[in-house]
Amino acid sequence: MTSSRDLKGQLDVMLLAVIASGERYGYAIIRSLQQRSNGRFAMKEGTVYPALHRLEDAGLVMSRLEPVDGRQRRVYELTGPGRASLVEQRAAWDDYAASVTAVLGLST
Amino acid sequence: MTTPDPIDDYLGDLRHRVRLRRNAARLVEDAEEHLRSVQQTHIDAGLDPTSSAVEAIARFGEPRDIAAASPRAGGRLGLQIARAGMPFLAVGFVGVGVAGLMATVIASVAGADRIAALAAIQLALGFVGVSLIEARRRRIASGVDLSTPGITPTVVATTAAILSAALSAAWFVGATVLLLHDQHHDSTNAWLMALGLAAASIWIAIAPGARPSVRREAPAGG
Repeated sequence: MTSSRDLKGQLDVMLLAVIASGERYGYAIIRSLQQRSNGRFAMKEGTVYPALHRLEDAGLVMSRLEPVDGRQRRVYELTGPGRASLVEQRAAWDDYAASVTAVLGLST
Repeated sequence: MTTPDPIDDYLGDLRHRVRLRRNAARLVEDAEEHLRSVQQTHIDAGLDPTSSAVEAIARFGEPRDIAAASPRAGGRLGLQIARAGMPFLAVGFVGVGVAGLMATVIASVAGADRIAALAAIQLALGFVGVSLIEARRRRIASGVDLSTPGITPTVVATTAAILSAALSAAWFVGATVLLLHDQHHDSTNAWLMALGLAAASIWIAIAPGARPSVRREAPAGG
């Protein structure tokens, strides 16, 4: 299991990517993150919420409450700046990954 | 008979751990919604309610780890306290206006010897105002949690509300008595009232802490 501390720096962009595929509530976001990483990123679920709040404070996601089974469930969706940030961070990651891959390829 | 609910116990611990963190109230709300959802998922899969709750908590993580992942409130704490106090200040000043109007009417109709009746009216206004604000504040959850460990938030909130009401009422009465006996009507009394309301506002903003925690009946079968 990878902890959220190990993912520091990448957790935010991964959350943006998950939320970009459709508005979701917290538990669904966490499950999607785990499924997309084949269980590799199965961090303690509670540590994801501070990251979601951080993204909301930054204006990259927004949330609203929806009544479900007598409870209030908070649903998250991406904002315009959030989509722009995701595009930018994806491009930066692609560049970084390509560079690392190139270096690793040369070393073998 | 009430069965201890592991999720309620966990939320109490979490509430204390994150009380000085940014978005403290949101963290606790999100945690409760998450834990109840996961618990229900396990129950639907055939697990008993208590084991479901324990499993959900284990996956959620230790409160200290969640607190460590959350930024400190920092300068926002002061802003949150100010926001929490603003509605009280607003209602308080409306109360001053209403009390002043009543004082004028009563003094002109019945003379200034009805101060005792006026004081009673002001006392009631103070209590109603504080009660309304406290009720609203609990609903909107200001995000400020300064509750004292070992004392339930409900007790702290209720005590603070009563003390605030008493403080506010004392200032209302004292300032109005001065106003009615002051032939010069200088601005000192208005400042006294404003100071009293500000003090009461700060007190009620920081003392009650979190919303009251409501202990739930654990689902049957656990």
